[in-house]
Amino acid sequence: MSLRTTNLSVSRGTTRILSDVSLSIEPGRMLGLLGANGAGKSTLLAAIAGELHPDGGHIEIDDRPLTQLPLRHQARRRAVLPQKPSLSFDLGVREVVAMGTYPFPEIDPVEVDELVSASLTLAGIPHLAHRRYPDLSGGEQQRVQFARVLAQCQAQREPGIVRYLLLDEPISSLDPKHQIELLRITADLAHQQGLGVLVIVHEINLAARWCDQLVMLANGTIIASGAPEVVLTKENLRTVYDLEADILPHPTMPGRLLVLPR
Amino acid sequence: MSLAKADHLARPTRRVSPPAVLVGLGIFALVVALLAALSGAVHIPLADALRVLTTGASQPNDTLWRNVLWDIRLPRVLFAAVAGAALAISGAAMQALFRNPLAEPGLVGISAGGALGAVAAIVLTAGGFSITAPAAFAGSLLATAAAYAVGRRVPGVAGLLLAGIAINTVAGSLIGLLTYMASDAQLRDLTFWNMGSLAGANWSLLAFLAPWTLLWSIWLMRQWRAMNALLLGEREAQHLGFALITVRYKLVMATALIVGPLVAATGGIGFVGLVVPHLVRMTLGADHRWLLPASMLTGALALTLADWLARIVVIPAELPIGLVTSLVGGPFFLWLLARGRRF
Repeated sequence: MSLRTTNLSVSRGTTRILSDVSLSIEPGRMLGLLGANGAGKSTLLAAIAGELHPDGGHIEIDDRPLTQLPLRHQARRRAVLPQKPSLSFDLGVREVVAMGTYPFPEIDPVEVDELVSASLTLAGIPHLAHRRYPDLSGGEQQRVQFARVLAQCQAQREPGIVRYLLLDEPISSLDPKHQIELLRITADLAHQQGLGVLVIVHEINLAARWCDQLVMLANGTIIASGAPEVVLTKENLRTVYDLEADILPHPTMPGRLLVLPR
Repeated sequence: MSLAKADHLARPTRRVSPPAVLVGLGIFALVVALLAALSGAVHIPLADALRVLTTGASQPNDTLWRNVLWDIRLPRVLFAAVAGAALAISGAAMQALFRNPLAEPGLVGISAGGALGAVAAIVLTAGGFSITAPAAFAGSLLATAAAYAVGRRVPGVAGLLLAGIAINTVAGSLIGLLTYMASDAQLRDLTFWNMGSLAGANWSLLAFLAPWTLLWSIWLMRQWRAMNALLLGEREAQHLGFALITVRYKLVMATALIVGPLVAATGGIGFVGLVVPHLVRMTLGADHRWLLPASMLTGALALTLADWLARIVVIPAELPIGLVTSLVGGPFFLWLLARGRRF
């Protein structure tokens, strides 16, 4: 059971964006995707989200080729939070979160309401329940969208079906406290409910703190993958970000790293 | 904090209850329909109307009243309601498809194609409703199918939009060419066709149009989840399990099937498809679960009202209804925009 790519290659026009990317999103694990701007992170996530036709390689969800699974069935197993939600129509927060249950039309309205409330609470935003979405700040909108994908994951209740969650820079507009909170919630879901999570993060230290595994992408290929202490080396940071940094053991969290850019 | 932000904070955060609004709209629409059925060149008191419809003629005016009510007014009012509902729900569907509150059915060539078919029938044949209407229907379906077939070759919804614009331009110039060829009598016919009319209302037309519109509208309403998901974004809609190609095809097809026969039967009735969904969105928000049925009721209400106005303003003559909807709808729309509310 995993959501995995094998030797994945993607081109846009004549430009090769990803070449030979193999990675595996495992249930119960939080996989962090790191890389400089333009390294191909979002393209990789879009490919795993079933939006692109790869030029080569395969994507498999629980050992079935993704292309063989109808979109509705994909949506019942895999929730995706894209980078910049563009909703400008006047919808209420609860209505937006309820969209997470659309792949599950068999759920009755009362249960949808409960799921929406539970997801708002889980995302830490029950106080936004009765606001209109376009009136919210950018950070609040991001948290509502997060609640929407949480609802999509929670709506799948069949035992034995693994749920996957793909997050593209979910904390880019959040303040430091809510950045940590969102990652903590996501990690808890992975560890306690067995979700397989892929998250694109730019903050190296947050990735090091919350992800079980990291993958580093540069120019469309994976240059390092594994546990944070394996991936976060001076050489890799130099290759990926062109960044000189010191890497220290975390002063208060044993087993974790602290990356200090110079 | 900017003024705009302060204005947002001052807005009510909770909307009125949607089912209550639907019931209210339904009652209001019935009252207006009743009013429209009873008044006009011949006024009929409510009690007398009930009597002549249920028990038959017994007093001097009864036969006249019965004929006016049964043969002219009732089909006319029902026709206005059906046409208004159909235009409004199609407008809402197109606005969801294009993710743009300024979209309307005409955008994919339905109206222009219908007009071209009608004008061609008026200029190139003997004319008359039995030829003009099928020609208009065929024109609107052909134009929409062409816009869809060309548009789908371009990724995203932009292709459909651009193809629609091109089709509208081509249809417009062909209409111009036919107008140039037309005789004086034909010119008069096609001018009136363009201004729209509900005068063609009769029971046999309604017997087809009402169930047809209702059927496709219900089918369209069942797609409310897909339309909401589209508001969220095209990628997001896919992530929620909706295949964009399928959703686009469904929405365009349903709109063409709903509006096509209507354009054929009524000619050009503007602004209902554009303004009505706006109005509803301002009170109920953009959730299509409620927006679609509420738009239908509001559209029915608006067109019944417009048709009533068209009949009573210049008694015993009547104004073309397309003129009324544009004359009232246009300034009203400007006023909405001037208030600076979000859609």
